[in-house]
Parts: sequence; C-alpha cells; structure tokens
Amino acid sequence: MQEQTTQRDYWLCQLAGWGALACVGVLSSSSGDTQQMLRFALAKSFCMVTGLGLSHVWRLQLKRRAWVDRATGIPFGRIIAGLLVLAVLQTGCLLAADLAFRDGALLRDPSTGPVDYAMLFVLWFAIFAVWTLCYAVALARRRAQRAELEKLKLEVSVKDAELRALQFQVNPHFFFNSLNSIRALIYEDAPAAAHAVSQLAGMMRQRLQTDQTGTIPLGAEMAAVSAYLGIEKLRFDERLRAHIDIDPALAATPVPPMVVQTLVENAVKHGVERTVAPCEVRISARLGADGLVRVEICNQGRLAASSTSTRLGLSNAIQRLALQCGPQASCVLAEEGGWVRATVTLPQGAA
Amino acid sequence: MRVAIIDDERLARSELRRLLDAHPEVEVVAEAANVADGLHAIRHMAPDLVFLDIRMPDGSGFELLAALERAPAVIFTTAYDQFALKAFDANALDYLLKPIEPPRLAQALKKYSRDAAPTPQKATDGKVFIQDGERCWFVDVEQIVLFESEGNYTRVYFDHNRPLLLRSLSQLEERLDPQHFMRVSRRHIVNLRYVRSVGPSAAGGLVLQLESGLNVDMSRRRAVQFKQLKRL
Repeated sequence: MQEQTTQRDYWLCQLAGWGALACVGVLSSSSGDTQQMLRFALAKSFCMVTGLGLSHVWRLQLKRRAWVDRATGIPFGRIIAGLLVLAVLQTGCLLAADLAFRDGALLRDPSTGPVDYAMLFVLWFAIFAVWTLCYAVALARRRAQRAELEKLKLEVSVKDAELRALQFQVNPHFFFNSLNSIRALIYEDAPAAAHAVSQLAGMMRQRLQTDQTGTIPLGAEMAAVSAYLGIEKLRFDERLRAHIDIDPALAATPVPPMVVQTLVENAVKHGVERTVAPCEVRISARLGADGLVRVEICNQGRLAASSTSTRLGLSNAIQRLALQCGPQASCVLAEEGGWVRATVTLPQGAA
Repeated sequence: MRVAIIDDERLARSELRRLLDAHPEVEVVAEAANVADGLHAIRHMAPDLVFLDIRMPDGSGFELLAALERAPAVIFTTAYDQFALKAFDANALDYLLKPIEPPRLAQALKKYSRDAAPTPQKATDGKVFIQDGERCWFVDVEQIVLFESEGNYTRVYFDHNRPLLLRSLSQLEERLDPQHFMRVSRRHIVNLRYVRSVGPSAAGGLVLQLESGLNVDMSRRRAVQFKQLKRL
C-alpha cells in the first residue's frame, strides 16, 4: 500500500512539473498568427511529453542502479553523463518537433546559429538536472520518514514487550514471602503446607504457560486468582478477607490472561498490605442486561495517587482488553464509599 | 540476649521464633505486627536486638527506627528489599533474606555479639538512625560534631554528611549526655569532644572552632556557663 502511495505521488509530481512547464511554454508562445501560435504550442507540448517520457526512463535507470537512493557515495560522474545524454536526446526531440509541427521554423531560420543550439542543450540539461535534484530530495525525505517510523515502531514494541513481561512476572516480594510462610507451615501444619505448595505451583504454571497474546476462559483465570488469594491468605491471615462470587455460567467467557489477576494483586497491594485492620477483597462476575459480562474487583480502602507502575499496569490491561476482546471491552477504576472498585466489562463470547 | 521480632506476617514471626530456638542464649521478649506496636514494644521492653521487617502496613522499618530517640541494634529481615538496604553505609547493619537460612542467622547473631553488643569496656551513647530522603545512616552519637536547628528539623553534622533529622533541637538536648554535648546558642548543640580551639567573638561571646573546620558562635550567657564549666 505504501508502494502505491509512492507511485501515485511520483506521477502527481511528474504531471504537475511537466504540465506546469507546458503551460508556461504555451502561454509564452504568443505570435501574431494564430495558426503559427497553435503549431508552436503543439511543438512545445510535444517536447514536454517527450521530457516526461525521458525523465521516467531516467528514473527507472536511477532506481535500478540506485544512483541517488543512498546516503553516501553518489556517482556524480555517471549522473552528469546521463544528464548529458538526456539533454542531447531531448534537444533532438525538440528539433524533430520543430520539423514535424512547424515545418522546421527554427532549423530553417538562417539567423539560428550553433550558439542557439547550445543554449537549447544547456536549458534541457538544466531542466533534467533540477528534476534529478528534486527526485533525490524526495527520496531522501522518504528515507528519513521511514527511518523515523521504524524507530517509533521499535520503541513501541519494546515498551509493549517490557510491560507484558512485567505483568506476567511474579512479584518477588510475594514469591519469597510465600516461600517463607510455607516454610513455617511445614512445622506447624504439614497438610496446609502441602496445599500451599500446590497452589503456588498452579499459579506459577499458569503464568509460565499462558500465551500472552491470546485469551483464556474466565474460569481458568479465576482458578489462578483463587490459588493466589489462598497463598496471600496464609501471609495476611485474618487481615485478608476474600469473597469470590462468579456466576458459573460465565466460566467460559474469554478474557485476556492476567488482567483480573493484575487487578486482584493491586487490590491486595493497595488495600490489604497498607492496613492493619482486616480488609475485604470482593471479586464478582455477572451478566448484565446489555449482554456484557462485568467482572468487579473491590477492596476496602481509598484510591491512592497510585504509582506509575500501577498506572502502567492498568493502561496495559485496558489496551489488551481492547485488543483481544473488541471495542466493547473496558476497564474502569473508581472509588466509592470506602471501596475501590475496578470494573472489567467484556462481551460474553468475544474474539 | 533479649530480642524483639517485628514483622506483619504471623507465619514469618513464628518461623523466626522457631529458628531462634536453636540459640539458647536468645530470648524473644517482644513481638509486634506493625510499626506502632513495634515502637511500643521497643520503648517498653528495651530489647538488645531487633529483627525488623521493612514493609509493614502502617509504615516502613526505617520509619520505625527514625521515630526512636536511640536506635537499637537491628537485623533487618526482608523478602526482597535488600536494595533499599544498599542505601546504608557499609557494615552499619546486617540483613537476612526470607526464607531465612539457619547458618545465615547464626552468622548474623555472631556478628552482633562481636560488634554491637554492649560491653563493660565500651559504654557508648548509643546510635541514632537518620533517614534523609533516599539515604540512611546509623550514627554513633559520639561521632556527631554538631546539631544545628533548622525550624522543626535539625541538621546533623558528622563525617562529611549533613542530613536533616525530624526532631527539634530542644527534644534532642534532653536526650544527649550533658557531659559531652552543650547547647551553645539558640541554634546549636556542640559535641565538646570536637572543639579544637576557643576564641572571643565580636558579639562578646565566644567562637568555637570545631575539628571539621566549622566555626560556631557561643552566646554571651552560654559563654559564662562554659567558662565556669571549664574551670571546674
């Protein structure tokens, strides 16, 4: 598609340039005799058509040999030689046009001397030189734009990859504290320790195996969330009160992996970790009258001026929702009556 | 050795207590699950050594230490905040990574007994914990040359550092040993151990030249007290 645009731009420039020259030529062909004038204008227009044709052939040559589309080492000698050939050919065309349309008005004019031919030749040489210059400038500009675009694309993809990696990474604080809790449990309550190891394994497996670009059923995401909350419950004890209320009929709803998990981790980080008193975290999923699924993650507390990492995480979640579940999907964060509520809206059978 | 354990996770406290059972010389005299309770426990039980978590619901372990007039000997316990501890000057304190390895714990206790435990030979004024922005210091009070009042804060001069402490000069004066620390003016408390020379000032008081090259004016009234003190 970009190639098409380039072609179109090229032809527009060509027609505009030669057309303008033709106009100037025709308008300057004033003469007393109308028929003479028409013939003169015809001859000039013919020259513009041959000029257009020659310049197009010249462009093919420049393109094939890549004489100007390069940053350094432009072969000026060859280009000038080419321009000389073009000027000779075009002057020839001009004389041919003179013979064909004006019965050789110029050639047969006794006052026409070698100097006049030389002037014509120099004029055409100059026109083709200017043409070549314009062409080179256009190419250089396009190259610069492309480089800029490539750079931007690269930056965006690197940022995106970093964010995703971050989102799928296990919080090391969580991980080592969990291991510490399990170590304590081994002596206190061996079956509970065994269960905790299974939960941790399940959660880790989910993160390591999930395809980051696809979707997974809500039920699978919630299984990982439950495992995560089970481990956090070990750490925070009665400080964490988790309630999960998911309509079983919605278990198949496709969701981008880690979106609900990220929001639950945020609820624990900003709600439970920051308060001495017990903190409730509620997760629910319902089908609305509008046919959209709403997953709500609420925690007691206030919406803090969240850190940049949280905001990045949230904006990444929103982006992935839109990308993988369509324009109806969204994610909103709000505070109301001592609760912070994140609402994820999804179509029931998206993607 | 009387120790306190301050950590917001019950299982983490119980794990550390269990690990400490292997060290009969250690007695756990207090446990706390947050900064407020931790401060209370340290003030009332005056433990020799504190095992201190860094992240707690109502503040950080650093904030807890900064709120104490005298910092106890501390071993930080952390899951992943060892980077935060890099802010300290080297060897100022020890830290253990959770889950704690028993040999590391034994090593840390040994280091404490060797370096930090009070002995009859070296009675000290203790240490003070200072946090100023990103940087933290555990400073021996004897090493502090000068305290300078800056509104509600006090600038503390030691070595080449001049951090701010969130405490007024008057609050500090109450806690400092009057044998070594003297309030020389409204704005300054000087550690007399670092006074190199004394000369008359234009205002009729004295000018104290300190070892670090600082000059501090002493008011006329204080100068009279100072001369009496020196005559004794």
